[in-house]
Amino acid sequence: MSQFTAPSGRMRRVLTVTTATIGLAFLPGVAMADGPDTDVLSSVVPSAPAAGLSPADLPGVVDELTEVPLPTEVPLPTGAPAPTGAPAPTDTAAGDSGLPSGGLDDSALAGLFTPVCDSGLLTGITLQLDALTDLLGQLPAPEAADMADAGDEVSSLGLIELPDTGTLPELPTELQDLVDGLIAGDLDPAALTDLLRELIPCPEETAPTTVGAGTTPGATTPTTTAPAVAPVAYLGYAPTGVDSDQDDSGVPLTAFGGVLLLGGAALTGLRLRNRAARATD
Amino acid sequence: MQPAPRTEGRWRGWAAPLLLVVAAAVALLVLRPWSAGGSGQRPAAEDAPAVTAAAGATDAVDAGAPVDGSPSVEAEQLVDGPIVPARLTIPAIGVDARVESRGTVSYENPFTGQQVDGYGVPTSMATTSWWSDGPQPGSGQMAVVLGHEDAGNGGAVFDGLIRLHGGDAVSMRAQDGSTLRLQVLGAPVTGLDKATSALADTLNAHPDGADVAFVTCGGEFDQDAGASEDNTVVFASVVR
Repeated sequence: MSQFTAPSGRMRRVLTVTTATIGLAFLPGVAMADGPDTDVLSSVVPSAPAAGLSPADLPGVVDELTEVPLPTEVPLPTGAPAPTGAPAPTDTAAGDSGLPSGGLDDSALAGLFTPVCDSGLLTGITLQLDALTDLLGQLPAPEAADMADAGDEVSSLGLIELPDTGTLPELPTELQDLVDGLIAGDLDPAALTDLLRELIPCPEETAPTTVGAGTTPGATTPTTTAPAVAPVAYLGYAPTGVDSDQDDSGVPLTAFGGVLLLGGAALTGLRLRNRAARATD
Repeated sequence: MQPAPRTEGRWRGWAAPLLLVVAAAVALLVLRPWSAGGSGQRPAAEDAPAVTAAAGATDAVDAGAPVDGSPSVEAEQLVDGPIVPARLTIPAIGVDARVESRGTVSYENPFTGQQVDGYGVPTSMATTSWWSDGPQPGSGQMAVVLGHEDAGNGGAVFDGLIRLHGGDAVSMRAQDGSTLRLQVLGAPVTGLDKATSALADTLNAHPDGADVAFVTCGGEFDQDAGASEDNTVVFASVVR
């Protein structure tokens, strides 16, 4: 076993192998469990020609990946673009022990999965077909190494050399369990789910944040907000004005009442006067 | 020989003046509320709801305990939640008035001739009205409270609304004494042409934090239309 001097590089390689393995061998099943819309494997087939593969070749590729050893040195695929923004590997024989991350495009790997979250909890993963296509195109020849050996190596790396104070303190154990499951062909779905939740954390609900490894850099999820209150449609007419100077209705009505009262009183007086006159006669 | 007095004819002769007296008394009773306070106010001729003697007219500023026929209000208890307002106090312009609940009313806009939905207005020049088809004050959404403005002699409850300034204190009290403390947000918004959607636009785009909009009329009084040409709005927010 080689000794590594760059924990972050080792971690990335571990994640590379693990993610590729999970993505190719298991995630289709996980995704299919979510429903027909997430049938990733069947979705991959139409995209495969872009990677130079025929649909019929894909299952074989997966099988071969699980049977043949990985290469000790990973050459860049012919015509594949060099990774940008990352230093080129300088001494793979000394430090990388044949793990393939140096030959893979980090951006393609990082964008392979994006999380689907509910209330801050990972509930699903979306496989980015473009990223997968790029990744498949960068994979080395299948006869290079044995996948089981790679799993052992990953297991060893995870147990021995992961940093003690890393940001993923539980990852080595979970990774070991996962790799053991991979080797034994008895993968615990719960362990896989836990690992994926560690690898692909959901952002905080109140503030969009960049998600972690295995996702598109800078990808965010929409901010969760409180249920919106129905907006009020305010009315546009308020007849609240009056001009008492021009108000000529109140006074006449009052005057009318007064006239009626005076008229009644006058008539009453007239009647009384006539009656008194008749009585005198 | 004197003819026998005709009792039936004599009572018939009294009927006319008695009817006149009764009619006069009724007319005076009906009209009396509008003359209370000496201002002779009445609600706007522009589509104001029918006024009855029970409308409870008082002076525009009836400071102190309610004397306008409104039920007594319990002791003040500050809250910041929704209330059904029963009384409005704006000390800066001497307003202490009853708040009626009025829903949406269909009017014919005298400036456009169109039938429009508008706010029910107070039945008295001395009282205000809360738009009960809209949000409650303190509910988190903006409530609308209306009061009349008299373009003539004055004396209407919201005559002084245009003189309010940002920070002026306002309080609205519910029947149970629950009281919202508010303060005016900025200067009044004036010149909202009734022939346009200016009032609705202003209310719908109310400032952040506005919990109550006080609405009255402004501008010139159009004699032909029988209405003031503009509206004036003052926004206020709950002091929490």
